[in-house]
Amino acid sequence: MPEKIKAPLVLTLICTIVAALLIFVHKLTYVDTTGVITDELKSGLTEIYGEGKYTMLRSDDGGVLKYDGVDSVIVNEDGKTAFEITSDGYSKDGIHVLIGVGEEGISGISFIALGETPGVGTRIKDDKNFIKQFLGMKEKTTELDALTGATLSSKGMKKAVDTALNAYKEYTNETSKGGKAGE
Amino acid sequence: MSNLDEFKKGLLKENPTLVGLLGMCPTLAITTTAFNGIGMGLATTFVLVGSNLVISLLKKVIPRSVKLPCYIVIIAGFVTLIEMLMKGYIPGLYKSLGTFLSLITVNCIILGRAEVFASKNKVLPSVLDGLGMGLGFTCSLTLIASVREILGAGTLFGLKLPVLNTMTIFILPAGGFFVLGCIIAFVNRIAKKKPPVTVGCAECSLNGECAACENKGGAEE
Repeated sequence: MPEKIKAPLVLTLICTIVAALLIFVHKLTYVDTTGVITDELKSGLTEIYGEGKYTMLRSDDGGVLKYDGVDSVIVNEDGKTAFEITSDGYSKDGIHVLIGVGEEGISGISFIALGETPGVGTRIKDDKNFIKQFLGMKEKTTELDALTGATLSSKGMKKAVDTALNAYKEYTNETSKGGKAGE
Repeated sequence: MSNLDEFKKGLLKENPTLVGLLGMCPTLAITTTAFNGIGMGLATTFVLVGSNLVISLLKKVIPRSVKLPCYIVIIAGFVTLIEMLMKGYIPGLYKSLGTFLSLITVNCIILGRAEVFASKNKVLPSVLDGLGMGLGFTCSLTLIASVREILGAGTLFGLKLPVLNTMTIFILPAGGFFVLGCIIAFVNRIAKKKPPVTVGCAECSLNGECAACENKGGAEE
C-alpha cells in the first residue's frame, strides 16, 4: 500500500479505536452528582446546622435551583438555608464552600474542598479568626482583614460570602412573594 | 542490557527528573504536598507503562510520517483514561492535581521514552523501561514534595509533624526550585556524575568565528 494512503489510514484507525475505548470507560466511571447531596456536602451541612434532613432545592424546570454564582441551595426541615458556592481564590475554582445564611446573617461556613496553596492559601480555613469576621455579617462590607500573603484567597472567600448574601436576599424575596422555591 | 537493567536505570542512573531534567513543569508545580507528588507520579507511571506497551506493539504498523501524531493520540488516550478513573474513584486527588493531570499528555518524559525506547525495542523491555522511569519520576516527586511539605507546611502526607517553625517559602515556587536544585546536586553526587568537560575553542563547531575567539585570532586551546 502506498505511504500516502497508509499513513492517514493508520492514524484514523488508531484515533477511532482510542475514542471507542474511552467512550466505554466513560460510561463505566461517570457518576452524575448534580442534584445529589454528596457525602462531602452532608458533612459540611452537619458542621453548620447539625444532623438533620436536608433537601436540595429544584427550580421549576426540574433542574437544580441556581442563583448568580451559587451551585446549589440546600434547606433543612427547619427552613434554614445553606448555599454551595465555588469561588476563585489564587487558583481557579479553588474555594468550594457551604455558607449557611439566615435572618441573623451568616451563620456558618464550612469548606467542601480547598484547592489553594497548602500552608498559604489554606490559612483561610485554618485561621479561625479569619473565618470569624464573616459570621453574623448581614450586608456586604468593603472592610476585610485579609491574611498576609494570601490576599487572593481572602478576596475569593469574601466574594463567596457576598454571593451567599446576595443569593439569600433573592431567595427570601422569592419565597415571600409566592413561595415557590420552598418545595 | 538485561531486562533488569532496563528497569533499574530509570530509578537513579537515568532518572528522568533528577538526571535527565525532563518534566520540570509538574515537578515544580504539584510538589506542594507529598500526597500530590505520589499521585502525580503514579498517574504518570501508569500512562508511561501503557503507552510504552502499545507503542512497542504497534512499532511496525505505524508509518514513519505519522509517527508523532499516533504516539500523542495513544498517550492522550491513556491520560484521559486515568483522568476518568481518578475523577470517579479519587476525586480529592483529581481536584488538587487539576490541569496538571491532563498535561501528562505533553510530559516530555512520556513522549521521550516512546520515541527513544519503545519505538525501537521489544515489548517486555519497553514495559520495564516505562515502569522504571515512572517509578523514578514518582520517587523524585515524592522526595521533593516531602521536603517541601515538611519544611513549608510542617506536615507529611497531611499528618502534623513537630516542626519548630514552618518556612512558607518552601511551598512557594522559589522554594520548589531551591529543593529541586539541592536534590539534583545530591543525586549527582551519589551517581558520581561528572560535570560536562569544558570544550575549548579547538573542538568548537563555530571554529573560531565567534566573538570570544576572534580577538585571539582563531582557536586557542
